[in-house]
Amino acid sequence: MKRTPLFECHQAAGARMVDFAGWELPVYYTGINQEVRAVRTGVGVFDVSHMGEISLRGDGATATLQNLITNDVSGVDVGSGIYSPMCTAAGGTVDDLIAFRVTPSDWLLVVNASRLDVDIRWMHDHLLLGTTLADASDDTSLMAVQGPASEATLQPLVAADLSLLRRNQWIEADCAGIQCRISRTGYTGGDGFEVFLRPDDASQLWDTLIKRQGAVPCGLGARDVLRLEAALCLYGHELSEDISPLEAGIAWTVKFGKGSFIGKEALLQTKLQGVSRCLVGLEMSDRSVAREGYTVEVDGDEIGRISSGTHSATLGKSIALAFVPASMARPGTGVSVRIRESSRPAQVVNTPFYRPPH
Amino acid sequence: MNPEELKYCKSHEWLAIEGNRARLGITDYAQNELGEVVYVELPDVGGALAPDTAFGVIESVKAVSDLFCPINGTVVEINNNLLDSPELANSECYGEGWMLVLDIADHAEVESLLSYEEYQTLLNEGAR
Repeated sequence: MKRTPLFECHQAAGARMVDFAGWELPVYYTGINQEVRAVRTGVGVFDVSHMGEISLRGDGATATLQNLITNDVSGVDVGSGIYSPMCTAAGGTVDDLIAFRVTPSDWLLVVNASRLDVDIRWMHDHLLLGTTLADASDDTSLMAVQGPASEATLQPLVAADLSLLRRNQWIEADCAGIQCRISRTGYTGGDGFEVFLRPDDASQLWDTLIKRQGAVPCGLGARDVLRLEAALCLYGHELSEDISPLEAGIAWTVKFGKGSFIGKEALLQTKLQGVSRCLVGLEMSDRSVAREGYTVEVDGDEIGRISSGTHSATLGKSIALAFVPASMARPGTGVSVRIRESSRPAQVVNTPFYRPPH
Repeated sequence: MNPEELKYCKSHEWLAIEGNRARLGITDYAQNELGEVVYVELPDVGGALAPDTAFGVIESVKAVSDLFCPINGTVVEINNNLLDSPELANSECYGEGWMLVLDIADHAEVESLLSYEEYQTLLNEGAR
Protein backbone atom coordinates (compact mmCIF):
# COMPACT_ATOMS: atom_id res chain seq x y z
CA MET A 1 0.00 0.00 0.00
CA LYS A 2 1.10 3.59 -0.63
CA ARG A 3 1.62 5.92 2.31
CA THR A 4 1.12 9.67 2.60
CA PRO A 5 3.78 11.90 4.24
CA LEU A 6 1.61 11.80 7.39
CA PHE A 7 1.75 8.02 7.87
CA GLU A 8 4.02 8.24 10.93
CA CYS A 9 1.77 10.90 12.48
CA HIS A 10 -1.24 8.59 12.09
CA GLN A 11 0.63 5.66 13.57
CA ALA A 12 1.90 7.74 16.50
CA ALA A 13 -1.68 8.86 17.16
CA GLY A 14 -2.79 5.23 17.35
CA ALA A 15 -5.01 5.42 14.28
CA ARG A 16 -6.72 2.27 13.03
CA MET A 17 -5.43 1.99 9.44
CA VAL A 18 -7.16 0.59 6.36
CA ASP A 19 -6.44 0.07 2.66
CA PHE A 20 -8.28 2.72 0.66
CA ALA A 21 -7.69 2.77 -3.11
CA GLY A 22 -4.26 1.26 -2.48
CA TRP A 23 -3.33 3.79 0.23
CA GLU A 24 -2.77 2.97 3.90
CA LEU A 25 -4.95 5.56 5.64
CA PRO A 26 -6.67 6.06 9.00
CA VAL A 27 -10.27 4.89 9.21
CA TYR A 28 -10.43 6.41 12.70
CA TYR A 29 -8.23 7.71 15.52
CA THR A 30 -10.55 7.77 18.55
CA GLY A 31 -13.82 6.67 17.00
CA ILE A 32 -15.94 7.47 13.97
CA ASN A 33 -18.84 9.04 15.89
CA GLN A 34 -16.55 11.18 18.03
CA GLU A 35 -14.75 12.44 14.94
CA VAL A 36 -18.05 13.18 13.17
CA ARG A 37 -19.16 15.15 16.22
CA ALA A 38 -15.91 17.13 16.22
CA VAL A 39 -16.52 18.22 12.63
CA ARG A 40 -20.18 19.07 13.28
CA THR A 41 -19.47 21.11 16.43
CA GLY A 42 -15.85 22.28 16.20
CA VAL A 43 -13.05 21.48 13.82
CA GLY A 44 -11.62 18.27 12.42
CA VAL A 45 -8.61 17.74 10.17
CA PHE A 46 -8.31 15.01 7.52
CA ASP A 47 -5.28 13.75 5.62
CA VAL A 48 -6.54 13.53 2.04
CA SER A 49 -3.14 13.47 0.36
CA HIS A 50 -4.13 10.29 -1.46
CA MET A 51 -6.36 12.31 -3.77
CA GLY A 52 -5.05 13.03 -7.25
CA GLU A 53 -4.05 16.42 -8.61
CA ILE A 54 -3.79 16.95 -12.35
CA SER A 55 -2.68 20.16 -14.02
CA LEU A 56 -3.92 21.28 -17.42
CA ARG A 57 -1.91 24.15 -18.89
CA GLY A 58 -1.59 26.08 -22.11
CA ASP A 59 -3.61 27.99 -24.67
CA GLY A 60 -5.85 24.95 -25.23
CA ALA A 61 -6.34 24.08 -21.55
CA THR A 62 -9.61 25.92 -20.93
CA ALA A 63 -11.20 24.59 -24.12
CA THR A 64 -9.96 21.08 -23.27
CA LEU A 65 -11.52 21.31 -19.82
CA GLN A 66 -14.76 22.80 -21.15
CA ASN A 67 -15.04 19.77 -23.45
CA LEU A 68 -14.10 17.22 -20.80
CA ILE A 69 -16.50 18.25 -18.05
CA THR A 70 -20.23 18.94 -18.05
CA ASN A 71 -20.20 22.08 -15.93
CA ASP A 72 -19.43 25.48 -17.41
CA VAL A 73 -15.94 26.84 -16.67
CA SER A 74 -16.36 30.05 -18.66
CA GLY A 75 -17.49 31.96 -15.58
CA VAL A 76 -14.79 30.61 -13.27
CA ASP A 77 -12.28 33.35 -12.44
CA VAL A 78 -8.67 32.92 -11.46
CA GLY A 79 -8.82 32.12 -7.76
CA SER A 80 -12.03 30.11 -7.99
CA GLY A 81 -12.99 26.49 -8.47
CA ILE A 82 -15.92 24.51 -9.78
CA TYR A 83 -17.32 21.03 -9.07
CA SER A 84 -18.17 18.86 -12.04
CA PRO A 85 -18.57 15.32 -13.26
CA MET A 86 -16.52 14.25 -16.28
CA CYS A 87 -18.60 12.04 -18.58
CA THR A 88 -18.21 9.42 -21.28
CA ALA A 89 -19.85 9.83 -24.68
CA ALA A 90 -22.66 7.59 -23.41
CA GLY A 91 -23.33 9.94 -20.50
CA GLY A 92 -21.82 7.76 -17.80
CA THR A 93 -19.34 9.27 -15.33
CA VAL A 94 -15.57 8.86 -15.58
CA ASP A 95 -15.01 10.76 -12.33
CA ASP A 96 -16.21 13.77 -10.38
CA LEU A 97 -13.72 16.51 -9.61
CA ILE A 98 -13.08 20.10 -8.62
CA ALA A 99 -11.25 22.31 -11.11
CA PHE A 100 -9.42 25.38 -9.76
CA ARG A 101 -8.35 28.18 -12.11
CA VAL A 102 -4.75 29.12 -11.28
CA THR A 103 -4.16 31.48 -14.24
CA PRO A 104 -6.44 32.12 -17.24
CA SER A 105 -4.86 29.15 -19.02
CA ASP A 106 -3.75 27.01 -16.09
CA TRP A 107 -6.10 24.66 -14.18
CA LEU A 108 -5.54 22.35 -11.22
CA LEU A 109 -7.99 19.45 -11.01
CA VAL A 110 -8.53 17.47 -7.82
CA VAL A 111 -9.74 13.95 -8.57
CA ASN A 112 -10.61 10.75 -6.69
CA ALA A 113 -7.62 8.62 -5.69
CA SER A 114 -9.27 5.52 -7.13
CA ARG A 115 -9.67 7.17 -10.54
CA LEU A 116 -6.38 9.05 -10.97
CA ASP A 117 -4.89 6.64 -13.50
CA VAL A 118 -8.14 6.36 -15.46
CA ASP A 119 -8.56 10.16 -15.45
CA ILE A 120 -5.06 10.80 -16.73
CA ARG A 121 -5.49 8.33 -19.60
CA TRP A 122 -8.95 9.71 -20.42
CA MET A 123 -7.84 13.36 -20.36
CA HIS A 124 -4.70 12.54 -22.31
CA ASP A 125 -6.86 11.03 -25.04
CA HIS A 126 -8.96 14.20 -25.23
CA LEU A 127 -6.33 16.95 -25.06
CA LEU A 128 -6.87 19.76 -27.54
CA LEU A 129 -3.94 21.42 -29.29
CA GLY A 130 -1.86 23.64 -27.03
CA THR A 131 -2.58 21.77 -23.83
CA THR A 132 -0.11 20.10 -21.49
CA LEU A 133 -1.28 17.59 -18.88
CA ALA A 134 0.84 16.84 -15.82
CA ASP A 135 0.25 14.58 -12.83
CA ALA A 136 0.97 16.78 -9.81
CA SER A 137 -0.20 14.22 -7.22
CA ASP A 138 3.22 13.16 -5.95
CA ASP A 139 4.19 16.79 -5.40
CA THR A 140 0.99 17.74 -3.59
CA SER A 141 -0.19 16.98 -0.08
CA LEU A 142 -3.75 17.87 0.86
CA MET A 143 -5.38 18.40 4.24
CA ALA A 144 -9.03 19.18 4.89
CA VAL A 145 -9.88 21.42 7.85
CA GLN A 146 -13.63 21.18 8.36
CA GLY A 147 -16.29 22.36 10.76
CA PRO A 148 -17.87 25.55 12.11
CA ALA A 149 -14.62 26.43 13.91
CA SER A 150 -12.43 25.82 10.86
CA GLU A 151 -12.05 29.52 9.95
CA ALA A 152 -11.21 30.42 13.54
CA THR A 153 -8.67 27.59 13.56
CA LEU A 154 -6.83 28.68 10.41
CA GLN A 155 -7.11 32.45 10.76
CA PRO A 156 -4.38 32.90 13.40
CA LEU A 157 -1.98 31.04 11.09
CA VAL A 158 -2.49 33.17 7.98
CA ALA A 159 -2.19 36.90 7.30
CA ALA A 160 -5.00 37.00 4.71
CA ASP A 161 -8.54 37.67 5.95
CA LEU A 162 -10.23 34.28 5.56
CA SER A 163 -13.67 35.76 6.18
CA LEU A 164 -13.36 37.26 2.69
CA LEU A 165 -12.74 33.84 1.08
CA ARG A 166 -16.03 32.61 -0.35
CA ARG A 167 -17.05 29.04 -1.01
CA ASN A 168 -15.03 27.56 -3.92
CA GLN A 169 -12.50 30.38 -3.89
CA TRP A 170 -8.84 29.83 -3.12
CA ILE A 171 -5.76 31.90 -2.20
CA GLU A 172 -2.04 31.42 -1.98
CA ALA A 173 -1.04 31.89 1.64
CA ASP A 174 1.71 31.55 4.17
CA CYS A 175 0.19 29.28 6.78
CA ALA A 176 2.28 29.07 9.97
CA GLY A 177 5.39 29.69 7.88
CA ILE A 178 4.40 27.15 5.21
CA GLN A 179 3.62 28.17 1.64
CA CYS A 180 0.31 26.70 0.57
CA ARG A 181 -2.96 27.19 -1.27
CA ILE A 182 -6.12 27.34 0.79
CA SER A 183 -9.52 26.77 -0.82
CA ARG A 184 -12.88 27.13 0.85
CA THR A 185 -14.08 23.70 -0.22
CA GLY A 186 -14.86 20.42 1.45
CA TYR A 187 -16.71 17.15 1.48
CA THR A 188 -18.62 17.49 4.74
CA GLY A 189 -21.61 19.70 3.93
CA GLY A 190 -20.49 22.44 6.32
CA ASP A 191 -17.89 25.20 6.35
CA GLY A 192 -14.32 24.17 5.77
CA PHE A 193 -11.07 24.58 3.94
CA GLU A 194 -8.68 22.42 2.00
CA VAL A 195 -4.98 23.15 2.25
CA PHE A 196 -2.64 22.22 -0.62
CA LEU A 197 1.05 22.11 0.29
CA ARG A 198 4.37 20.44 -0.42
CA PRO A 199 4.68 16.91 0.95
CA ASP A 200 7.79 17.92 2.92
CA ASP A 201 5.75 20.48 4.86
CA ALA A 202 2.77 18.24 5.59
CA SER A 203 3.72 16.84 8.98
CA GLN A 204 4.68 20.27 10.28
CA LEU A 205 1.30 21.74 9.40
CA TRP A 206 -0.53 18.65 10.70
CA ASP A 207 1.19 18.98 14.07
CA THR A 208 0.52 22.72 14.20
CA LEU A 209 -3.18 22.24 13.50
CA ILE A 210 -3.59 19.49 16.07
CA LYS A 211 -1.21 20.46 18.85
CA ARG A 212 -1.31 24.25 18.61
CA GLN A 213 -4.80 24.84 17.25
CA GLY A 214 -6.65 21.89 18.80
CA ALA A 215 -8.09 20.44 15.60
CA VAL A 216 -9.29 16.85 16.01
CA PRO A 217 -7.71 14.33 13.61
CA CYS A 218 -10.44 12.53 11.65
CA GLY A 219 -10.30 9.45 9.45
CA LEU A 220 -12.03 8.03 6.42
CA GLY A 221 -14.82 6.54 8.49
CA ALA A 222 -15.93 9.96 9.69
CA ARG A 223 -15.36 11.40 6.20
CA ASP A 224 -17.83 8.91 4.75
CA VAL A 225 -20.51 9.55 7.40
CA LEU A 226 -20.18 13.32 7.00
CA ARG A 227 -20.48 13.31 3.21
CA LEU A 228 -23.43 10.94 3.44
CA GLU A 229 -25.19 13.26 5.93
CA ALA A 230 -24.65 15.98 3.30
CA ALA A 231 -25.88 13.61 0.56
CA LEU A 232 -22.70 14.12 -1.47
CA CYS A 233 -21.86 11.58 -4.16
CA LEU A 234 -19.01 9.14 -3.75
CA TYR A 235 -17.57 7.78 -7.00
CA GLY A 236 -18.13 4.07 -7.21
CA HIS A 237 -21.37 4.37 -5.24
CA GLU A 238 -23.54 7.22 -6.57
CA LEU A 239 -21.50 7.84 -9.71
CA SER A 240 -19.83 5.37 -12.06
CA GLU A 241 -19.32 4.73 -15.74
CA ASP A 242 -22.86 3.27 -15.72
CA ILE A 243 -24.44 6.14 -13.79
CA SER A 244 -25.02 9.57 -15.29
CA PRO A 245 -25.01 12.80 -13.28
CA LEU A 246 -28.69 13.18 -14.18
CA GLU A 247 -29.52 9.92 -12.38
CA ALA A 248 -27.26 10.83 -9.45
CA GLY A 249 -29.16 13.97 -8.59
CA ILE A 250 -26.50 16.43 -9.77
CA ALA A 251 -28.23 17.65 -12.93
CA TRP A 252 -27.28 21.19 -11.88
CA THR A 253 -23.69 20.37 -12.87
CA VAL A 254 -24.69 19.62 -16.47
CA LYS A 255 -24.83 22.87 -18.41
CA PHE A 256 -26.60 22.14 -21.67
CA GLY A 257 -26.45 25.85 -22.51
CA LYS A 258 -22.68 25.88 -23.04
CA GLY A 259 -21.04 24.57 -26.21
CA SER A 260 -20.35 20.93 -26.93
CA PHE A 261 -18.85 18.60 -24.36
CA ILE A 262 -18.30 14.85 -24.15
CA GLY A 263 -21.61 13.16 -23.34
CA LYS A 264 -23.82 16.13 -24.21
CA GLU A 265 -25.94 14.32 -26.81
CA ALA A 266 -26.52 11.26 -24.62
CA LEU A 267 -27.32 13.38 -21.57
CA LEU A 268 -29.70 15.55 -23.58
CA GLN A 269 -31.51 12.40 -24.72
CA THR A 270 -31.85 11.27 -21.11
CA LYS A 271 -33.08 14.69 -20.06
CA LEU A 272 -35.75 14.74 -22.77
CA GLN A 273 -36.91 11.16 -22.12
CA GLY A 274 -36.67 11.50 -18.36
CA VAL A 275 -34.36 9.44 -16.15
CA SER A 276 -35.56 5.91 -15.46
CA ARG A 277 -33.93 5.77 -12.04
CA CYS A 278 -32.89 8.50 -9.65
CA LEU A 279 -30.96 8.91 -6.46
CA VAL A 280 -33.04 9.53 -3.35
CA GLY A 281 -32.40 9.91 0.35
CA LEU A 282 -33.90 7.27 2.63
CA GLU A 283 -34.45 7.34 6.37
CA MET A 284 -34.95 4.04 8.17
CA SER A 285 -37.98 3.99 10.45
CA ASP A 286 -36.19 1.91 13.06
CA ARG A 287 -32.61 1.51 14.22
CA SER A 288 -31.60 -0.93 11.49
CA VAL A 289 -28.82 0.13 9.12
CA ALA A 290 -29.33 0.09 5.35
CA ARG A 291 -26.01 -0.58 3.64
CA GLU A 292 -24.60 -0.46 0.13
CA GLY A 293 -26.01 -3.25 -2.02
CA TYR A 294 -29.14 -3.93 0.04
CA THR A 295 -32.30 -4.00 -2.06
CA VAL A 296 -35.12 -1.49 -1.80
CA GLU A 297 -38.58 -3.03 -2.01
CA VAL A 298 -42.20 -2.00 -2.31
CA ASP A 299 -44.81 -4.65 -1.49
CA GLY A 300 -42.17 -7.34 -1.58
CA ASP A 301 -40.95 -6.42 -5.07
CA GLU A 302 -37.40 -5.23 -5.63
CA ILE A 303 -37.47 -1.70 -7.04
CA GLY A 304 -34.01 -0.39 -6.32
CA ARG A 305 -30.72 -0.63 -4.50
CA ILE A 306 -28.87 1.18 -1.71
CA SER A 307 -25.73 2.93 -2.99
CA SER A 308 -24.48 4.11 0.44
CA GLY A 309 -25.83 3.89 3.97
CA THR A 310 -24.83 4.30 7.57
CA HIS A 311 -26.05 5.16 11.01
CA SER A 312 -25.78 8.92 11.59
CA ALA A 313 -25.11 9.83 15.20
CA THR A 314 -25.53 13.51 14.23
CA LEU A 315 -29.12 12.87 13.20
CA GLY A 316 -29.80 9.94 15.52
CA LYS A 317 -31.05 7.80 12.66
CA SER A 318 -29.95 5.47 9.92
CA ILE A 319 -29.74 7.16 6.53
CA ALA A 320 -29.02 5.95 3.04
CA LEU A 321 -28.84 6.98 -0.60
CA ALA A 322 -30.57 4.68 -3.07
CA PHE A 323 -31.43 4.46 -6.74
CA VAL A 324 -35.17 3.97 -7.24
CA PRO A 325 -37.54 4.46 -10.20
CA ALA A 326 -38.39 8.11 -10.78
CA SER A 327 -42.02 7.31 -9.89
CA MET A 328 -40.94 6.32 -6.36
CA ALA A 329 -38.74 9.34 -5.76
CA ARG A 330 -41.16 11.71 -4.10
CA PRO A 331 -40.30 12.55 -0.46
CA GLY A 332 -42.75 10.79 1.83
CA THR A 333 -42.92 7.64 -0.31
CA GLY A 334 -42.83 4.58 1.93
CA VAL A 335 -40.47 1.77 0.93
CA SER A 336 -38.75 -1.18 2.58
CA VAL A 337 -35.13 -2.20 2.70
CA ARG A 338 -34.27 -5.89 2.74
CA ILE A 339 -31.85 -6.41 5.60
CA ARG A 340 -30.91 -10.06 5.95
CA GLU A 341 -34.16 -12.01 6.35
CA SER A 342 -36.53 -9.13 6.98
CA SER A 343 -37.92 -6.07 5.26
CA ARG A 344 -37.42 -2.92 7.31
CA PRO A 345 -39.57 0.15 6.74
CA ALA A 346 -38.04 3.34 5.37
CA GLN A 347 -39.16 6.61 3.85
CA VAL A 348 -37.91 8.74 0.98
CA VAL A 349 -36.80 12.09 2.40
CA ASN A 350 -35.43 15.37 1.09
CA THR A 351 -31.68 15.74 0.95
CA PRO A 352 -29.29 16.81 2.28
CA PHE A 353 -30.08 14.99 5.50
CA TYR A 354 -27.98 17.50 7.43
CA ARG A 355 -27.83 21.27 7.02
CA PRO A 356 -25.49 23.37 9.18
CA PRO A 357 -27.33 25.70 11.57
CA HIS A 358 -27.27 29.33 10.47
CA MET B 1 -19.09 -9.30 35.87
CA ASN B 2 -15.50 -10.06 36.72
CA PRO B 3 -13.81 -11.01 33.44
CA GLU B 4 -11.52 -13.45 35.25
CA GLU B 5 -14.49 -15.52 36.36
CA LEU B 6 -16.05 -15.80 32.92
CA LYS B 7 -15.80 -18.43 30.20
CA TYR B 8 -14.82 -17.56 26.64
CA CYS B 9 -14.77 -18.80 23.08
CA LYS B 10 -12.86 -18.19 19.85
CA SER B 11 -15.54 -15.90 18.40
CA HIS B 12 -15.01 -13.50 21.31
CA GLU B 13 -18.18 -14.00 23.29
CA TRP B 14 -18.10 -14.50 27.08
CA LEU B 15 -20.39 -16.64 29.19
CA ALA B 16 -21.18 -16.32 32.88
CA ILE B 17 -22.35 -19.76 34.05
CA GLU B 18 -25.14 -19.40 36.65
CA GLY B 19 -26.26 -22.94 37.55
CA ASN B 20 -28.06 -24.36 34.56
CA ARG B 21 -28.19 -20.99 32.82
CA ALA B 22 -25.57 -18.77 31.24
CA ARG B 23 -25.46 -15.06 30.52
CA LEU B 24 -23.68 -14.10 27.28
CA GLY B 25 -22.02 -10.98 25.90
CA ILE B 26 -19.08 -9.91 23.76
CA THR B 27 -15.57 -9.36 25.06
CA ASP B 28 -13.61 -6.13 25.32
CA TYR B 29 -11.46 -7.32 22.42
CA ALA B 30 -14.58 -7.75 20.26
CA GLN B 31 -16.10 -4.38 21.11
CA ASN B 32 -12.79 -2.64 20.45
CA GLU B 33 -12.41 -4.33 17.07
CA LEU B 34 -15.98 -3.40 16.10
CA GLY B 35 -15.80 0.27 16.95
CA GLU B 36 -18.92 2.12 18.02
CA VAL B 37 -21.89 -0.24 18.00
CA VAL B 38 -24.99 1.26 16.42
CA TYR B 39 -27.34 -1.71 16.11
CA VAL B 40 -27.81 -5.15 17.65
CA GLU B 41 -30.16 -7.92 16.50
CA LEU B 42 -31.01 -10.55 19.09
CA PRO B 43 -33.09 -13.74 18.77
CA ASP B 44 -36.56 -14.16 20.22
CA VAL B 45 -37.01 -15.66 23.68
CA GLY B 46 -37.51 -19.38 23.17
CA GLY B 47 -35.17 -19.49 20.18
CA ALA B 48 -32.59 -22.26 19.88
CA LEU B 49 -28.89 -21.56 20.14
CA ALA B 50 -26.22 -23.79 18.58
CA PRO B 51 -22.48 -23.53 17.98
CA ASP B 52 -21.47 -22.31 14.50
CA THR B 53 -24.94 -20.87 13.89
CA ALA B 54 -25.18 -17.08 14.21
CA PHE B 55 -27.92 -16.09 16.68
CA GLY B 56 -27.79 -12.42 15.89
CA VAL B 57 -25.91 -9.53 14.43
CA ILE B 58 -23.97 -6.61 15.82
CA GLU B 59 -23.34 -3.58 13.66
CA SER B 60 -20.86 -0.77 13.99
CA VAL B 61 -20.83 2.33 11.80
CA LYS B 62 -18.75 0.53 9.20
CA ALA B 63 -19.38 -3.17 9.63
CA VAL B 64 -21.82 -6.01 10.29
CA SER B 65 -20.69 -8.98 12.41
CA ASP B 66 -22.42 -12.21 13.33
CA LEU B 67 -22.90 -13.19 16.97
CA PHE B 68 -22.37 -16.79 18.09
CA CYS B 69 -23.09 -18.90 21.14
CA PRO B 70 -20.48 -21.66 21.55
CA ILE B 71 -22.82 -24.11 23.32
CA ASN B 72 -26.30 -25.48 22.67
CA GLY B 73 -29.20 -23.90 24.54
CA THR B 74 -32.49 -22.00 24.51
CA VAL B 75 -32.92 -18.25 24.90
CA VAL B 76 -34.76 -17.35 28.12
CA GLU B 77 -34.07 -13.62 28.27
CA ILE B 78 -32.71 -10.90 25.99
CA ASN B 79 -31.36 -7.48 26.96
CA ASN B 80 -33.91 -4.96 25.64
CA ASN B 81 -31.81 -2.10 27.07
CA LEU B 82 -29.08 -3.09 24.66
CA LEU B 83 -31.47 -2.96 21.71
CA ASP B 84 -32.37 0.63 22.68
CA SER B 85 -28.84 1.67 23.58
CA PRO B 86 -26.45 -0.40 21.46
CA GLU B 87 -23.49 1.64 22.66
CA LEU B 88 -23.69 -0.34 25.93
CA ALA B 89 -21.96 -3.14 24.03
CA ASN B 90 -18.90 -0.87 23.94
CA SER B 91 -19.04 0.89 27.30
CA GLU B 92 -20.32 -2.00 29.45
CA CYS B 93 -19.45 -5.13 27.50
CA TYR B 94 -19.14 -7.23 30.69
CA GLY B 95 -21.96 -5.46 32.53
CA GLU B 96 -25.04 -3.66 31.25
CA GLY B 97 -24.10 -4.58 27.65
CA TRP B 98 -24.94 -8.29 28.16
CA MET B 99 -26.91 -9.82 25.31
CA LEU B 100 -28.92 -12.80 26.41
CA VAL B 101 -29.47 -15.47 29.04
CA LEU B 102 -29.79 -19.09 27.93
CA ASP B 103 -30.86 -22.44 29.41
CA ILE B 104 -27.83 -24.72 28.93
CA ALA B 105 -28.80 -27.87 26.96
CA ASP B 106 -25.80 -30.00 27.90
CA HIS B 107 -23.69 -28.91 30.86
CA ALA B 108 -20.79 -31.05 29.60
CA GLU B 109 -20.33 -28.57 26.77
CA VAL B 110 -19.26 -25.93 29.31
CA GLU B 111 -16.01 -27.90 29.73
CA SER B 112 -15.08 -27.05 26.14
CA LEU B 113 -15.15 -23.30 26.82
CA LEU B 114 -11.94 -21.31 27.34
CA SER B 115 -10.89 -20.01 30.71
CA TYR B 116 -9.84 -16.39 31.17
CA GLU B 117 -6.15 -17.39 30.94
CA GLU B 118 -6.74 -19.52 27.85
CA TYR B 119 -8.62 -16.63 26.19
CA GLN B 120 -5.79 -14.19 26.99
CA THR B 121 -3.35 -16.64 25.39
CA LEU B 122 -5.57 -16.73 22.32
CA LEU B 123 -5.52 -12.96 22.09
CA ASN B 124 -1.78 -12.77 22.55
CA GLU B 125 -1.31 -15.26 19.74
CA GLY B 126 -3.05 -12.71 17.51
CA ALA B 127 -6.00 -14.94 16.65
CA ARG B 128 -8.93 -13.03 15.08
